[in-house]
Amino acid sequence: MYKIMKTYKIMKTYINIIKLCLVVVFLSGCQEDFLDRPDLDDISSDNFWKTPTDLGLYVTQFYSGFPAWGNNTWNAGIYWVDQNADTEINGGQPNVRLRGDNTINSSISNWTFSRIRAVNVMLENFGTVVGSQDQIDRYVGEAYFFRAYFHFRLVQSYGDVPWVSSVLSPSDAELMSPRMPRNQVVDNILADLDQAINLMPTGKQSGGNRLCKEIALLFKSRVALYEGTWNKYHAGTDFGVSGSDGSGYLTIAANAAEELINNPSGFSIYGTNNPNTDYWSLFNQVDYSGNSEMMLWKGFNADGGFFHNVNLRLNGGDTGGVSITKTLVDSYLCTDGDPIGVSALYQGDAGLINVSTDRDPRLSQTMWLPGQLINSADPTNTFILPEVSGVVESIAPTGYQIRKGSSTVPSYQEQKAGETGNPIFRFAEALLNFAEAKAELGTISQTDLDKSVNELRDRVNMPHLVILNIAPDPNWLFPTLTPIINEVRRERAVELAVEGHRFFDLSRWAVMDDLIVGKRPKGAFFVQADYPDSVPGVNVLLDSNGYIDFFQSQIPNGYEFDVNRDYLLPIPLNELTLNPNLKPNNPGW
Amino acid sequence: MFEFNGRYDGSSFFKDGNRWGFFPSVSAGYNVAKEPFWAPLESVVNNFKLRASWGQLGNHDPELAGLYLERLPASTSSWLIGGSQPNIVNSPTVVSPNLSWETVTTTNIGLDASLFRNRLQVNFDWFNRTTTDMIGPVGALPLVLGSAAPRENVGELQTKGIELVLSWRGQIGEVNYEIGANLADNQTKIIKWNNPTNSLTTFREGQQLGDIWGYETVGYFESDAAVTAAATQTQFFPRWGPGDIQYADLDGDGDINIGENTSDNPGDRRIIGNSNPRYSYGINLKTSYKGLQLAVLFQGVGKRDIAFNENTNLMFGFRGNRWQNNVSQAHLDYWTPENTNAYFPKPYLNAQHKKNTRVQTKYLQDASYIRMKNIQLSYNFPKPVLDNLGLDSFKVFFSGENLITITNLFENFDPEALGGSWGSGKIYPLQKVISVGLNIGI
Repeated sequence: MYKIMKTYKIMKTYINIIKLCLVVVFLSGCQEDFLDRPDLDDISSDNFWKTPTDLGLYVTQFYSGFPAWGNNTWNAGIYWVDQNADTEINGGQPNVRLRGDNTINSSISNWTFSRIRAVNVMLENFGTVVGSQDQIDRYVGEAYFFRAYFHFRLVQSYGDVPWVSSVLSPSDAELMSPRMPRNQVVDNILADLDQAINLMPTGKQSGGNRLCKEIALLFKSRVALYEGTWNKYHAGTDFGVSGSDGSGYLTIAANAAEELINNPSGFSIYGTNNPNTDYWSLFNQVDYSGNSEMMLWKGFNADGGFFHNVNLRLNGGDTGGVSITKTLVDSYLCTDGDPIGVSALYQGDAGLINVSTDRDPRLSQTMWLPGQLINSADPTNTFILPEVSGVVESIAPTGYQIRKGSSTVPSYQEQKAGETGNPIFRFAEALLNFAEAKAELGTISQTDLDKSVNELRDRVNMPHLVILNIAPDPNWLFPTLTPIINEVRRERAVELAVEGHRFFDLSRWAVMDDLIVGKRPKGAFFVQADYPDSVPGVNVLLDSNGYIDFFQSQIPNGYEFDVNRDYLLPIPLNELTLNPNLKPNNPGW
Repeated sequence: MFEFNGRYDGSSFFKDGNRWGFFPSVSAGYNVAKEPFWAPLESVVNNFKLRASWGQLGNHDPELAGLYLERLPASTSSWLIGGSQPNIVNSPTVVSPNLSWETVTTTNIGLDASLFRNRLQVNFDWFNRTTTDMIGPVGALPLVLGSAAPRENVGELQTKGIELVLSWRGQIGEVNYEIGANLADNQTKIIKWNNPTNSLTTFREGQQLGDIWGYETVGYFESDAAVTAAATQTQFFPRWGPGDIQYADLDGDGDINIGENTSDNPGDRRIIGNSNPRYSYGINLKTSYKGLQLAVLFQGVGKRDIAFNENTNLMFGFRGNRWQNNVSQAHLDYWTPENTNAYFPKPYLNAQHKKNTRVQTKYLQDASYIRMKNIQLSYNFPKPVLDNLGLDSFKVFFSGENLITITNLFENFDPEALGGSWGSGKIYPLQKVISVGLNIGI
């Protein structure tokens, strides 16, 4: 800057004084209007909040807050999320949180309130809008839904969190407020969802690209089931809510789901009477506007510049190193309705053909099997076997390769060309939430099962779950719980496989000590004849029973998830410094 | 010689009432060598001029435009509705109603002198540039606010520095030569900033810009027993063993951590260096003898520290996951039970890698350097030769760029190319260039 000063010195004083006067005269003359012209790119809030259209323009921004995939997604979206649980692994490295390697410094943080603030701006300003009440109600209902949705994400990660229901200013004392107990936050979330249920229109909206009343009911059942089971199974620990056994929330969950089941407004389980393909084809459609099950989904259009790589990652060749585990595959019943440990139909673990014979048809629609068509334009291009040795990026490290979400349309399998829709909410979850809440309450009846779990069984032509006729399974994952809870949880694991629900399910059931701690995710039984180039102990690791044990050398002691700490994330240290009222940090941190 | 200048600036960036600023400046010069009393000295010191100036300028960044208004930015969403892209209106940020001009006040004192019949030229400047009413966030605010903190004219920043230019021109017999040197140095300090907790996430009062906070390295753990005996380091990673880095427990609490991440409680970190380049210099040599000419330019930085972050693969070879690891020869000097004196710790191909590569004294790099930026040697053939060949001119030359660099920096980095939007050092490299040529005029 001193160089600029130098350039001044040639000027003569009196000339400068004259110039100064001229400039002052000139600028004073135009200052009133010229400097006050508004920026043409943006909208001033004084000119906004007038019509229902304004509300629609504003609230639509929040749809991008759903965990959807998009142009920069190089993974397989929801189909890869469950690598943070017992049903899927990423061969690249064992999941950091399951492994117990999360630290207060490295933890992924989603302690974010910007969208909550943005929703509150709308909820504080919509009062000035004049126009169709239906339109106003629909958009305000969406805003309540989103405020609930964004708070729930915080509860799932952090437990007790601030409930923010107004637009905070930098001087507000509320910035320094302590965290609200999680059950109170959930109560507020449920109250917002009730607003959304009352205000939003009924039935599929904009072909399933916008929210509706039924989605709010589904989400309400999800939230209440989450909190109900969390209260019930974490009771008495540092994570529990004192005085709550969760039954109040379980009742809310059951009622919300039942209201949706009894008044589905056009929503139902999708099916075309093809039990061997309907479930698979539910996850690879480009347009779900006419699909009765997909309640909310995100669409793509590669020509318009909107695409993903999900189909590329699941095309039967490229795996990205992610694959499903023995735990998931073993969950599928045989076609007689009995588990593999009991059924006479089970052919044993040796090879994919044996494993998949006479099994719940959802297995072959979730996992690639020999002979399945890869490319619809080339009937000879069929799946042979998953690779189990080699560069981790291109193998299925467990020997069980993910098929759910794949498409046989060749153009979708190219890079940046995937166009299949991204499921966000589907009707099946409501059935599962209903059955689970009733089972947890101990009030589930055969009628309840017939309108929930058995609807899902019908799609794939599986025998009904009959409450009085449950075959005891020696391999139940939760042997201390009732048979019906085990079977409802099995149905959930199978139906919602690789859709990103599993970590939250394990967390709310508080079962990490049984299913994760000290365990390593296992894969298929290794059949040497299928893999002549693989040498056990050299380029494929097996456990003592001959099952693929991909992480054997990486985590000899298994996952070391800390059940006294890792159910919740740590509040970021900087936040505790800025607002000490947030202390103490979550248990164990 | 004296002059005065004044400006009255208005900006639409700010609200009515905060919009206008008056920025005066004055400067004075005194050519002492013109005074009669200088006569006895004039044969040695031909010219001697003192300069001083003081001035203010208004400074504002275009990104501050209109922040006093609550505005809702319009855009389109990638969430398609019915197959097409919907228009959306985004949420307003917190308004900053009181923004006004930043004032940059510069005081400059200079000296220009020529000595020995103008063969030695000296220019010296000292400056103090203070930015008052500097625009910054009103304070470090909790994320619960849901928005970036509003900005106000809250800060003050001061840069002090010097610049010195020397040149000498001489002749020995038929050899003409010229030596030039320049040196510049400055340091910037935060005088005022709204950060009452002295959080290290933003500026804080008294901070020297470029300060590097890091841990002190004790060395490698050589046994599990050593891990047990040392302060716990589990805030970075649960498991530690032989070949991992031991950090010093500076605050003596038995736990290696970042404390409250404030300068008052930085945990076990201290300021281990400063990344601001100090003492930038250039040296210019030119000499000629008849048709032969040689010119050399050196440049360098006298003092600078660099701490590469934990994921810098060019520094550490690994990046904490399976992507973009590139191990060069130097990275093979890693810890093994047989090579306990290695430069690098035990390598990991996963997130565990980062526990050993925190910013610390062991891997703090000395980024000072001197570089022969350019050398040029040329020969113009003399007239008689040209006449014989029937040419107007004939010149052969050799030139080289970046041929010699002396630095202590880790070999994968160039001290002049440390940046890179994909990570430190991942930038188009400076090249060594050698050219040989002929110029022929006919």
